[in-house]
Amino acid sequence: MNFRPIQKNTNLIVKNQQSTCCNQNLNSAPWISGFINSKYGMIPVVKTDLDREDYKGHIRSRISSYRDNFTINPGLYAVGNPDSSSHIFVTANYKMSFDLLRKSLKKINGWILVLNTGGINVWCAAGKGTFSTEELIKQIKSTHLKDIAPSGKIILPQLGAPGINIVAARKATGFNILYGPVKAQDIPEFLQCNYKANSSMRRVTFSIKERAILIPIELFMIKKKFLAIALIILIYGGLTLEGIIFNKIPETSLPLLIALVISIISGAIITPLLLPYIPFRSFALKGAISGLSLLYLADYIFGIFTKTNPFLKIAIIILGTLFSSYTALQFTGSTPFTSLSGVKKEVRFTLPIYISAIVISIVLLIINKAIQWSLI
Amino acid sequence: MKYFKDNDTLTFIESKCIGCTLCTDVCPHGVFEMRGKKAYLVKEKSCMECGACEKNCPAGAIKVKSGVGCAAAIITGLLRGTEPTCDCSSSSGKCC
Repeated sequence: MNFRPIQKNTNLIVKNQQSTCCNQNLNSAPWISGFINSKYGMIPVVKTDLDREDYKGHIRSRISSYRDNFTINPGLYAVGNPDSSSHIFVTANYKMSFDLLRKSLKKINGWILVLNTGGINVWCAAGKGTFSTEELIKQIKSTHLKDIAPSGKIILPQLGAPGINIVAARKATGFNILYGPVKAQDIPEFLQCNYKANSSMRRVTFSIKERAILIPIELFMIKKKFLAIALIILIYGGLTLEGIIFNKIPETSLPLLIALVISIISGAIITPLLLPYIPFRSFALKGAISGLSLLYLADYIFGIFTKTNPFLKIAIIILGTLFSSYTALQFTGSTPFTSLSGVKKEVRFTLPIYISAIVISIVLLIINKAIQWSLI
Repeated sequence: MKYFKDNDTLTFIESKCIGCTLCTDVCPHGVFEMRGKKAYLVKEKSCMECGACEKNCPAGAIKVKSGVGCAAAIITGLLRGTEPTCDCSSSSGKCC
């Protein structure tokens, strides 16, 4: 995904001409259907239907660090056959944001202005200050929007608002700038209703589907921690007074590893899915409850920890509950409703508990080893 | 779904409100509501402190201690001794 949306020094004004451009990268983008030649350069006309490659990119960025490079170049694009009074829709240069916008603009003639947010989605970029008033003004100027669409209304995504001072942007650019709905899919209705968004268009939701889609990236992000902890567990399991002995590993490590997997399932899958149904508002508590329940269920149904030494068993329950709670607490960063002051409270409250629980567990694990080694 | 927050993070000075409706446009949780020609704080506890209302209020009637409600960002901030920081651009892929 690397091309320039505007090329300088062309004077033709030919609309929706099929690409005969010399820019190889531009030609190769499959989501471009043609170009508008303006006196300021070529403006790509984008498709409003997503194809397999687009969806493949969406899936990859939902499950891996592929999303860090899932970008398009900032600048001006077109949908349909826009003119000087067509609407201008603003988005971020994260390709998923761009795709969801163009997909929602079927049968609409308009412009798409892509801000440079470093490949981050609109809401996060607004919070970080890269989807900003300054960037909006900069892109309006550098794309010569005042010449290309002087009487077009600029529709901002509502979730860009934490980064935009709309009054300042109106003053600086002379454009009529409005906040559109939260979701791009509501844009056609928003336009039909004379730029009125009803209250449901103005609210963020967090349905089970929206929560489920975040699970793979949660798992991806926890992968490194999982592998590091698993390695420590294997070393601990094999540790004897004579060194690390491999055939000693399963007896101690297996229940610990099972508990680790259970705590991840509980913290990164069950808690997000059942979020509104698990008691308490604290994510750490929700994670602890679901972790403890799942560990108990696994032991009750499969008898996983029945043969385990009581010291090891208590350590397993403490550590499993803790890790589930910690993983669930991380999910605060993925929700659209947790507040900074609330999460700060939660972190301040839980960190000392986590540290104490780890210290107690280490003592229990040492006692367990001492018993194994017949030292006590 | 509801979360919790400190009580003093969002302040709204009604007398300054000029009735432009921008706060009701930008808030994703319906914290403000227009009643007649003025905005009212109706769901203060739903505020997620994103700061959109303060940023857009032309009358300076709203103040929010805004930031990301993300544990990873807060823990990173604690470790580095800085404000909460969501390092979205890092190669780790961690982002809100």
